[in-house]
Amino acid sequence: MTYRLTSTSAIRINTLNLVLGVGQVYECSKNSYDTNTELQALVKQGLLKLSIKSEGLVARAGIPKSVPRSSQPTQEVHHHHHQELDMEALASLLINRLSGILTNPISSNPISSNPISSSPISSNPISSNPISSNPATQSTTKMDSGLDEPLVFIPSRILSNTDKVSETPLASQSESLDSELADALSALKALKRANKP
Amino acid sequence: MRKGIGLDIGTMNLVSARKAEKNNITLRQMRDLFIDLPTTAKKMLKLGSVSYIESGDHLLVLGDEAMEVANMFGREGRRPLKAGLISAEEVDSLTVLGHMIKDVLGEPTHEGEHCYFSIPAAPVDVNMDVVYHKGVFTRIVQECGFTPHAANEAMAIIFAETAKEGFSGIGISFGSGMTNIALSISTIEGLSFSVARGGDWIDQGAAKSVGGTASKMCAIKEKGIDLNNPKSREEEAISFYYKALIEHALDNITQQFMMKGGHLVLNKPIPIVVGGGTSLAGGFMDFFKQVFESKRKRFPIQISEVRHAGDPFYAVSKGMLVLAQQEYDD
Repeated sequence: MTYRLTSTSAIRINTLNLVLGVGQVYECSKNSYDTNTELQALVKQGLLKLSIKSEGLVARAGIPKSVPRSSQPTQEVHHHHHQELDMEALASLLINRLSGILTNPISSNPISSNPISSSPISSNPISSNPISSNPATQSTTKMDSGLDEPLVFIPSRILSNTDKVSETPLASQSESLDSELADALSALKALKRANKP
Repeated sequence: MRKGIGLDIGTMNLVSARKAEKNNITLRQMRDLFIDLPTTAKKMLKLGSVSYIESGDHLLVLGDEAMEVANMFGREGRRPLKAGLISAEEVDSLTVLGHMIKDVLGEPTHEGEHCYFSIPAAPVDVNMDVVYHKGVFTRIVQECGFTPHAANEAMAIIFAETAKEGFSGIGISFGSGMTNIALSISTIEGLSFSVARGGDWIDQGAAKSVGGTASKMCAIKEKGIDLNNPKSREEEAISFYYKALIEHALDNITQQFMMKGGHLVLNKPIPIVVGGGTSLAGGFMDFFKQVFESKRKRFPIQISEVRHAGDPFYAVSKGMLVLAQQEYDD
């Protein structure tokens, strides 16, 4: 059974790292829906409208043939994820908590249509997940592009244990006074708090 | 010492930033350069108090000392990064980068301390892959005992410099190997890309034009140059290539915005914030503003102001530090 979730306003689905504009549709299996508490909560809040996708043509009684059908196009976002998502980790992504900041017409619509994945390394800057240890993070950042990262070999060990390294530090060290950075951090944390569900 | 560390992995320099007491930030920096020597040079290096690494059957001298030693031996220093990415031509790159990063980061304050490191966005003007680059640095940072997070270089400028604009703006990092550009709306990366031109491209272009070497042009730049008032043929050539670089970056913002982000509607004008070592040349910002004003009419994004980062050289490492610190709740 396939569920159709129609967005009634611009929203971001944190666990899927997906942004939906008004009227956009996300389709998923019943099982995916049943295991995703965020989707269920959004439906309860009325931000998503749940319907069951009909498998075939359905006769619509009472509609005369001459009545023109609405020509308003429905945008569809098809999202397939094959990996087990780390729900908790993904939910902690600050970027996903900032959906409230995006208001129309900035609306998430443009963002959903790809800029985040415009470069293959576009990273979620506020991710709390170590990139190397959470494949879900990697897969979600390129989700919209539909492209897989090319297969690359990374040596299992780069730092050599056998090299003899001088004990004297090689880097030069300096101190810098910067109060603006503290302000930046406070502002970022305030945003984070403000957008916590 | 506070938790969290930022790391700027640049073609010319590696810089780490860590919060110290009060509003102080500890910055550790190393030139991205090395030279290999036979083991027979060990005695001489010791006499000269030069730090080195014994790696297999040769010695490696890293950082600023590598430049001095290279001059001493009449050789060119080797660079583990080229055009912003790990150099495929240097077989010792990974070993060298591992040692350099370990030294620049130091020991983590606790196991798995969060470390945000910069990676470039995929270039739009050449076919280069950043996946391997990201994977290697993720592995190195992890092996150093940190929890690695890769983040876009130009976005770091946004996080360090645009708090008052709610982290909205265009960050441009003029580096040595490439120029990175990101458009952010309230911390969300709306558009990011890089162009494979930076300080090195200026050096090479100017060198070809006047018949010198790229190293010589770099030295002229680092010695101090006023782009608006060049005093020699070399300086004039450097100014010319600077202008071409800025034009190339701005033209690509227009092009990429039209292609990928033309549908982004911005509520209000946003600033352009410029950082990176290549932007340190005398008169750079005046120069940049002049070029920008000549293109403003056709620029697709409303710009409130064009400004230099407070600390252009360290803006990326500081932005990475902000990101690393926000991983820890007070």
